[in-house]
Amino acid sequence: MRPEAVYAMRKEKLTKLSLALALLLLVAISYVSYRSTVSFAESARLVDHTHLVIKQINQVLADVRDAETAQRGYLITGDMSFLQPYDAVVTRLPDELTLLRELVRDNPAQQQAISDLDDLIVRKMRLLRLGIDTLAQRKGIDNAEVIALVGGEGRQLMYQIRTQVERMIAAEESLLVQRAETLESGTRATKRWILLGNLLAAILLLTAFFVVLREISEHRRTNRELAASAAQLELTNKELESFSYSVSHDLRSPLRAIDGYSRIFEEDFADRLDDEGMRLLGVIRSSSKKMGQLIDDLLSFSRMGRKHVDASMVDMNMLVDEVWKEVSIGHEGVKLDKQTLPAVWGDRALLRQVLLNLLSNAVKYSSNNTAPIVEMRAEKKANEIIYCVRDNGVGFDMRFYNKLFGVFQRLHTENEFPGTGVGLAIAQRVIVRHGGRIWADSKLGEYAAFYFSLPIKNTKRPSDE
Amino acid sequence: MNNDMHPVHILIAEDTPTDAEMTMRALKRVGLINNISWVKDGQEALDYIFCTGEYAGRERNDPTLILLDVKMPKVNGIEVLNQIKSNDSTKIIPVIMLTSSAEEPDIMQCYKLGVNSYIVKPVESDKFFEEVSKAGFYWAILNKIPNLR
Repeated sequence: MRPEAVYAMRKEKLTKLSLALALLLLVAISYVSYRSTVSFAESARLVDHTHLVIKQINQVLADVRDAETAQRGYLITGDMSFLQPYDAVVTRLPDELTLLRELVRDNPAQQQAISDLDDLIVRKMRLLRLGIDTLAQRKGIDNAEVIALVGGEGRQLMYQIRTQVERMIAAEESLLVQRAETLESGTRATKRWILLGNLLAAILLLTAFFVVLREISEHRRTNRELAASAAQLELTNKELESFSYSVSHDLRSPLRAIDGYSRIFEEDFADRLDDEGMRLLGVIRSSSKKMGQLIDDLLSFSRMGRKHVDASMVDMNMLVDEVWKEVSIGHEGVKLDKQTLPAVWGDRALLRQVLLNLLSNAVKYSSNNTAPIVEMRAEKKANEIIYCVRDNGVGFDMRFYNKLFGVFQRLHTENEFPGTGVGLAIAQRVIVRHGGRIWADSKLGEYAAFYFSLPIKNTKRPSDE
Repeated sequence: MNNDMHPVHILIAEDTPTDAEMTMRALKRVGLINNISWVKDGQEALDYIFCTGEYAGRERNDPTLILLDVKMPKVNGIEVLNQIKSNDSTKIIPVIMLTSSAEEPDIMQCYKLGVNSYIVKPVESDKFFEEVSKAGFYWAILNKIPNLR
């Protein structure tokens, strides 16, 4: 493979890889973002939960404190109405504790702490109840006893409860801080990842973009170069055409002189020339005639290359009949078997030349057959029409097929069949200029078939060059 | 025939001596021998016709028929034709292009300029002699040419 091709392939691979990687990155970023959002929501929920736990702990503490305050009031005043808040606390405290336990179910350390708190509270509540009961039985109580009931173990217990609550709240708060930190660092990491990922994807996309951009500009440049070299080729071709034209043109004049002066010589000196002299003169004249023929054919071949293709719908039936009349003169024994032929888009004069060459060949090469017949067929394909000229003449050797359409190439000697070997070259030139193909097949001594295809077209005119 | 009245005067402009000689020989076949002038390029042809350059001293005596080659040195046949046909005093002179060029654009241009005939010289000598003689016979003998004086 050529280095440019390898380079182009590498570039293509690079572009594809960049695009694939960018896509992958974007998918990864989406995933990270999603995960981050989910975990953010989860963290937020957890923070809320911690607040809820703290609130609930405080609630329990407040309840105990309320109960204690109520009992004290009762102890001091003996007024039963002071016990109302106490009763309320006794009723709801188990529920509040259950709720708290429920809230920290996922935290074994706090569970333990609640059990401890629960114990303390039970003891505290029992002590409070003892105080109340004592008063109720005695129907009166002195100050010293009240102080003993309020202070002492009760005070100690209250202190323990408060400490326990503070410890639990501290634990929850540290949890809160921890969670907030996790949340923040998670968010930071996510931000970093998204930023980095986006940056990478952007770089990759830019790379791909520039590669494609360069590819496009290179493509444009190549197209321009191609157009330039096509123009150059056209010019060279035209120069070559005009060269071959002027060469063959200039050759005609001396050739005419050779033939003309031989003729004059023959006229003026016939009486002084013997048979051998006349024969030699005859060779000069026939050779110059032959060369004239070659030059004429070369000229018409060159003209075919320069002639403008003037396309229109061509009635091939009419054209074949017209050409046949011309080529069958002097060969009345040859029969034409013609199918109805579809019309085609092309230059009538040029196609006439093609048919003239193919049909005259068919007549010429089948003339030795006892019952010569020339078949003209056509077949309509999807986007082309294939015409076929077939004769039952001498045919040609398929081994020399590559010489068949060459200029001045002949597969028969001048003695067998006269000709210059330009007819098929011209036919090929015309067909190619119409955007078609020409080909042939044969079996020596049996047949020769020439096919040419013409595009059914009509989107664009056949090339003018 | 009318050349009893107007002596035929033919100008041949041809750069190739052999073609010129063969043309004269062909004309000789139909009896056109006298009063044939031969010039070797387009400039000489114009000088001859308009009595300029090396023909400045020539007494103006317009040819009754002009045979022009297309491809000639200095001034080509088409330009000579153009000057003949665009000059009031010479545009009535019959002009025959006798040339090797069978190019469609050349033919078209010559007719647009008012050429009277366009003949492609055959390479084959028999044909050449026959066709040029016929043309000479038609244009100089059979065809009535205008009386220039």
